[in-house]
Amino acid sequence: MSKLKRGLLSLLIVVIILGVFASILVPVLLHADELQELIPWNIGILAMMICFYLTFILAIISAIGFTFSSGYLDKNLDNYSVLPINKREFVIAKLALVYYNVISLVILISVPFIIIYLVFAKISLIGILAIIIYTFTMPLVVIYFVTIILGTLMYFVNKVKNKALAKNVLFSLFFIVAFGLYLAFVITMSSLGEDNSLAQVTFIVEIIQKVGVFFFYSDWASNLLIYEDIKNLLLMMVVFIGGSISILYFEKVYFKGSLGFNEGGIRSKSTLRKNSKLPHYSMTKWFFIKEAKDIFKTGTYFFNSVMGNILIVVIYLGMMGYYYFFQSDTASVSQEITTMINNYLDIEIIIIITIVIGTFFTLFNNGAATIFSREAKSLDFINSLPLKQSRAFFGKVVFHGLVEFLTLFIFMIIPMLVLKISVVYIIASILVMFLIILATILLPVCLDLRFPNLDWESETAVVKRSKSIWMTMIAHLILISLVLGGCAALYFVLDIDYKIISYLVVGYYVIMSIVMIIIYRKLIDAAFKKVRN
Amino acid sequence: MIELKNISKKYSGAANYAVAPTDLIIKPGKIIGFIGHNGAGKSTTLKMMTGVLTPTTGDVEINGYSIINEDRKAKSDLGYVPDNPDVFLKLTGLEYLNFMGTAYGVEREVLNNRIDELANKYLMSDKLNDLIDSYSHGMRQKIVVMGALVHEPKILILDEPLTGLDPQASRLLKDSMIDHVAKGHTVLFSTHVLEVAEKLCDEILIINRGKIIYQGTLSDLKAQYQESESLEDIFFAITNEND
Ligand SMILES: Nc1ncnc2c1ncn2[C@@H]1O[C@H](COP(=O)(O)OP(=O)(O)OP(=O)(O)O)[C@@H](O)[C@H]1O
Ligand SMILES: [Mg+2]
Repeated sequence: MSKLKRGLLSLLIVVIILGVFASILVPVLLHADELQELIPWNIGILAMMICFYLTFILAIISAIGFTFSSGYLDKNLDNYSVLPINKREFVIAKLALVYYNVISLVILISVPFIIIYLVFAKISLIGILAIIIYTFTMPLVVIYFVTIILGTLMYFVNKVKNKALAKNVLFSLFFIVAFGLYLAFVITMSSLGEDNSLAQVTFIVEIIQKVGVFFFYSDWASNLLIYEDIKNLLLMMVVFIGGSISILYFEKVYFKGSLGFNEGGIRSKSTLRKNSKLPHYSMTKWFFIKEAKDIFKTGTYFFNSVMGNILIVVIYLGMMGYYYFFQSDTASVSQEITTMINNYLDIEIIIIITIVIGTFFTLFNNGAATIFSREAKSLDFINSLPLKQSRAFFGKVVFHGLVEFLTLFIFMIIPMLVLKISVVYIIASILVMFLIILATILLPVCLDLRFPNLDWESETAVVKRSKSIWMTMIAHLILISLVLGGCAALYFVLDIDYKIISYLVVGYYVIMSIVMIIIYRKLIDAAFKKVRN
Repeated sequence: MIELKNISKKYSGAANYAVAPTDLIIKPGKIIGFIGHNGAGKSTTLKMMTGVLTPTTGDVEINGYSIINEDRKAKSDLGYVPDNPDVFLKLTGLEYLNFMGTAYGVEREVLNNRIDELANKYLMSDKLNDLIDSYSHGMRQKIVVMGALVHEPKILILDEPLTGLDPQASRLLKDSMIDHVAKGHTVLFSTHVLEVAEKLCDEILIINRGKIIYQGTLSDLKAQYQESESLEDIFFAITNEND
């Protein structure tokens, strides 16, 4: 790529990021007064709280992912282990990489919230200092926890016979446990109400608080950073030292003995089963199966493409379950809500809700963004087979569509069933889901076909550093702002009836589906042709 | 029959031809050994024959079908064993063989029988339900060969198939190449092991720096180079001559 092109691209990214920031900032800043009337707290402080929550979740997710992918799942570790290198330096370099990745995300997310904070809250020097320290140390704390827990667990996993399975199970469980803890914390906090001091908080929360992740929560809501800040700063120092110690601990447990903890490989052995005949599948179905197995049997791929979907469903079901079973007053409320909702509901509202949620969920389908690149090593071989590539590859696309659909389905349909909404509406919602998924699943696929990354060595490289990955992210953000912003503009600015808007958006998605299919068929042939040259 | 018509390959950005324009006809019913130094252009030539690479100039006809314009018909007659057997690692051996059978449109009954047959022959029966990822290099080589044989291709093309095989597996593979040719099919394989080429092949093909410098039987070649005895000596003599 030429320098000019690169420069323009970076400029474009900056503009898009600013645009996303603006979409949060502008409405808040414009409607500050109205918002302030609605909310009992200072908006700035509220923004900071949201920011802390958001970045914390993000830090956990990305820390686990990055630690796994640059550590245990790094195929090159066995190669490094034969080199006469200082292991500690190596480990620190790896962790620094994790830190760098996490902090970039955290900073990116924090910016608009910090601006809101600076505009609305009384700005104190110590406040700003605390934000800076928080931003830079919080990921350390998270990495610290993640490495300790992960390292300890991996120590045992390495003793298990079926390592691959154990690793995958651990991988999934880890998230659920982490989020369970987080959920427990949030629920405990909210059940305590406003007046309670942190001293009353349960044991787990206290531990987390001590390490300094959440101590901002109550302080910032009640009194803005006075003496508490000094305590917090001290705690941060402790955290900082803790982070450093964790590196040593990490080395000891994580890299026990040698770097070659992959000894014997990730290879899994199945039990001696008699060969059985397989049913006859079409080529499209075979590619579907191949994609499913590639993703479920490769930790890095699994994490990067379906973990997000699984997580969101687990958290969602967890919260639903909690409110449904443990909040005694919910039952009666839901009765009222049910009758109310069923009175007001019409098919257009269902369509709009499905479109809003479905469009947001496109953010999860980045697995499809490497659908072609991930095949780099077998493209030559696939080229030697007498296949129609566009059709065969569609099997792979269908896999991601299905994952997307199931996520969306659970998200939408369960509340609809709970609220006893009519079957007609449910069917309408499902149809709209199909439409959205058809239209949007091909977008990342096409980006990957147009800008493939075929020159990778590790699986992490292909799912993290492919051009198509960030392009997809940007494309999705544009899509979301286009569709949602468009709806909002039509409704609020042009005063168009929501019923008309719902059909307009459906029309938009129909056109998008057709266009995407045409582009897909063109690009896949071109992409395979390029490989043959 | 394989017919190369003025075929050549220049990789994008490269100054020289990896394979210089070549005309060649390979008649059915023979085992042909393809020999040449590292980087001589063997893999490139084989990849153009199988449709993996598009030639810079020229065309390849497989039993009368152009690999460029009628690629699916041409490819149906081919079985290809690539130089790197690490494909489709997350499928089990059984799944892979079924995948290949479907790709080449083999009938279900026939396919199941073939898979059993091949698995017994290559001593892979108890490994078929394991992931290919868990196979050793030689086992991966075997499963790829089995995949290429599952549709009884009229033309079998193998790129250095013997690397990494133990003596037993290597014998098995050589035997099945002989069997395959006995059925009237063609086998074309590249190799660095000159003894194998000498013992096994009806014809040999020598490539040097992208140019085919010899095609014919070994005895004809030996007649030309009376003073040399083994293929190895002749190989060095002939490649030096052409440098
Ligand atoms: N993808 C590629 N891009 C650029 N040049 C290539 C590529 N593949 C091969 N070459 C070049 O083409 C020439 C022929 O390579 P080829 O792989 O066909 O050799 P080979 O005879 O199979 O060698 P070996 O015995 O080592 O397998 C070499 O000079 C090589 O550097
Ligand atoms: Mg080669």
